[in-house]
Amino acid sequence: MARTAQSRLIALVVAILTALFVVTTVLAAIHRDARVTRARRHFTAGRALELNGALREASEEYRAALALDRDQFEAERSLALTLLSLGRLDEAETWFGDLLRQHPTDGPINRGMARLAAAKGRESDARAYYQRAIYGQWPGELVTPRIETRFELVDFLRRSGSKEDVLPELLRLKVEVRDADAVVQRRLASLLIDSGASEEAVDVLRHAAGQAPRDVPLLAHLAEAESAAGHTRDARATLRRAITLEPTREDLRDRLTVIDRVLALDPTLPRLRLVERTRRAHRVLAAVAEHVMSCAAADKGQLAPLQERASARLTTRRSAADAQAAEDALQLAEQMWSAAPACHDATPAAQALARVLDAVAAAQEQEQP
Amino acid sequence: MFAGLLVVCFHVAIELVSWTTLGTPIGRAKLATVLAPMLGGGCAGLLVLLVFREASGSGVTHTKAAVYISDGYVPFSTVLGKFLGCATSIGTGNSLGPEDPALQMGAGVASLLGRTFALSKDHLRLIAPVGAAAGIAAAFNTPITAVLFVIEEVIASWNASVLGSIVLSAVSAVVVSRWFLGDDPLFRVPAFELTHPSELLVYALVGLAGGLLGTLLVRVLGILRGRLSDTSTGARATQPFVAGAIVGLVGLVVPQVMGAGYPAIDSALHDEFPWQLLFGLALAKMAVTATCFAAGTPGGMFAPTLFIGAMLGGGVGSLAQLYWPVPTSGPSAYVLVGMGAFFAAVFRAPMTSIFMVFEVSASYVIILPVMVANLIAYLVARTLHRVTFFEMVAAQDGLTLPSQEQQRESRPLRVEDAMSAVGDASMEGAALQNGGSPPVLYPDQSLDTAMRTFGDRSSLLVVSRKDPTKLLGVVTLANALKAYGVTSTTNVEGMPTAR
Repeated sequence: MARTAQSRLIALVVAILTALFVVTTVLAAIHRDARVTRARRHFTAGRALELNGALREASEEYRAALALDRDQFEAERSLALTLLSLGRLDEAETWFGDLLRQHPTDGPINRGMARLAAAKGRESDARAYYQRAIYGQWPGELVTPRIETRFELVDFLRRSGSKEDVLPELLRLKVEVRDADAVVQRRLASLLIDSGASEEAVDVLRHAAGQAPRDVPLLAHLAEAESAAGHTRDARATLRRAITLEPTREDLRDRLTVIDRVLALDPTLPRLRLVERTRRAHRVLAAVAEHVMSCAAADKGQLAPLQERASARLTTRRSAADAQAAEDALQLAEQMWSAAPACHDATPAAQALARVLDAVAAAQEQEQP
Repeated sequence: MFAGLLVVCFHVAIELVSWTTLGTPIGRAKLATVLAPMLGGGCAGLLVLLVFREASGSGVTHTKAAVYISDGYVPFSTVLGKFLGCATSIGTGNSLGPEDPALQMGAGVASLLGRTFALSKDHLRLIAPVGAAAGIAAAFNTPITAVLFVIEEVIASWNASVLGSIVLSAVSAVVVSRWFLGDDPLFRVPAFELTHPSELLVYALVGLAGGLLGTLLVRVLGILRGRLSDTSTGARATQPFVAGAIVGLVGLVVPQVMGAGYPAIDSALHDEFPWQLLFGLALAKMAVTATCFAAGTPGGMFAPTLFIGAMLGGGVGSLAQLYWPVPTSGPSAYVLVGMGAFFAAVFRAPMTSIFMVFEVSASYVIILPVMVANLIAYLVARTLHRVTFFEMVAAQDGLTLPSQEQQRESRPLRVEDAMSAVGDASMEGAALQNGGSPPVLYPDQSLDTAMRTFGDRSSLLVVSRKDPTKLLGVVTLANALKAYGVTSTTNVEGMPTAR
């Protein structure tokens, strides 16, 4: 009898435990659903506020979402990024730290951390996080954010004065942006030109022009890159193509004028005979003398002795092929040009002279041991 | 399991009440901020005052009372009263926590089960702490802390027979809690590291501040609770309404102080608050918590204690970041250490406080600062206020309970305390004088053991453990009684007279 009573008692307790388990399960499910729904609502509100620029309010919504549901990864990431945008760096860092522990390969988190490290002046950390972001995981579309992040890294390196590290990143970008649109390729080309890698810029832009042969701004950019890389004839051909596509573009015509003039004057162009180089050197001297003497802003008193020397040189009979005479003429032209900085204006004539003299200086630099 | 399931339901109930009455802090109506805690606290107070009288006061104290006074009996109405009263009061934003009620609910459920299975009086007395451990473990999601707290504060004994049951119940309750509520820890603790050894001085400051402020809280609570409980039933019925209104008014300015306050602790861990706000929150929370607890609003003191400690520690840490001559750790470390230090100061449970911080942070790095700060806080609080929080509350409730602190620290009498030394007597000769080969004692044995060994003998020999043949002295029954402080000359037949 006692054993039966004991068994019944145990059965009763088990039944009550089961009932309590069922009730708890139902309650917990309702609770979980309510939590998640409310958290999503706060997150959505936060997103909307963030898009409208109300970052502080957005961060509050994200916080509310996280207080309700800690598993809201997106809310946590958005909160960290919003705090970063608000300049609350210490607070943002604790959230990023949390996030990184859970998602060490997440692209946006690493980029956020990189921005934070950059803002706090921790350069090596910033570089490391940028690299992790570039090779990390990105939600949805994969290529663009990586490219954007590398551009950001390049920008950071340029700002922090690490110029030697910029070019390798740009060269990596060159590979990565091959399928990107023309705007991105032009952006890269500009950076390459700034970093002295004009040939690479030409390469990038030619590839882009091959994909979009009727893109006039792209062709104009290509012509500029070709000109900077010393491919002046190619630049002229590219510009002509651009003008054919858009004949009303006066700026392109001006640039063509400049290039035509450079082609006519530049004594450093390859495959020129000595006679031609000598003639061009004197033409450059004559053009510079004419430009500075007709320039109202020039200091005529200072230029007078140079002008006299130039007149004497231009009127003196000389050998048609005289390397020394050519060099002296170019040297004098450079002196006159340097003595009249106020005359370095944006007219096609002035621009052409500037380019020619730059080319001469570059050639002289190369000749020096 | 019963306790775990009940605590999960309790947790869910608190949140559902909170969402229904208060909503979320963003865009909360001012009227709701004031009215919800006022009405919620008031109704919960009335419920406890008029219907579930046993559910009033501190859960820890009442569980101890069940162990030491009522042979493990905890009426089930206490469980119902705690559940309904605390879910209402805490859910509506009153500044109290759910852990202490969860502890008592666990004890109540265990007691009911014990009674159902007709356990012996001894077992019934021990089962209440087992349930208490389950309750607090499920509420805190920290099994080690729960076990230590029950041992340190409720039973004050490392009795192996009950230890196993306590550990098992705590672990099973945490498993149940995590099954339903997820295995997230109580707080998300950002990574931190100790940057410089001199930083330990800052942690010592956290301990000092925790000790001072903890003592202040206990004293204020003692005075306020003493005065408010010594009033008519009508007055006591209105006190929770007033306390709730005060919480609501303060909540209009600093909404973080409402309810248990865990989201605010999380924010402090993530460096969300400047130091001025951190100190302000600590003081505001002290004020509203003391008001609610003293007014008889149902709820516990654990969560508010952690909140105040967190803000205090965070405040000191933030100041250290600004003014300490060497770089210091992030604020999360100070928030954690502050929690532990304040807990140690208020509840005088140093081991629990250390392991609690260790368990919620899951970081070994924190142990050293926590030990430094907690020890200082504990010693400061002990020096400034001899009576512990739970002793004070028990005394106010008219309960005569043993002081766990004294019990933990009291030195047991040993054989050497009652022993008379002898010269170079040999063991054989003494044994012959003492009647053949009698049982012997060692100097380090407890006098209790000696008393049980006497039998009908009037004296026992004390020998060295190193060399059992070497006689160290003799303990007479008279001297043993004298050591216990028995100095009467009452002569029991056959017993020697003590003088």
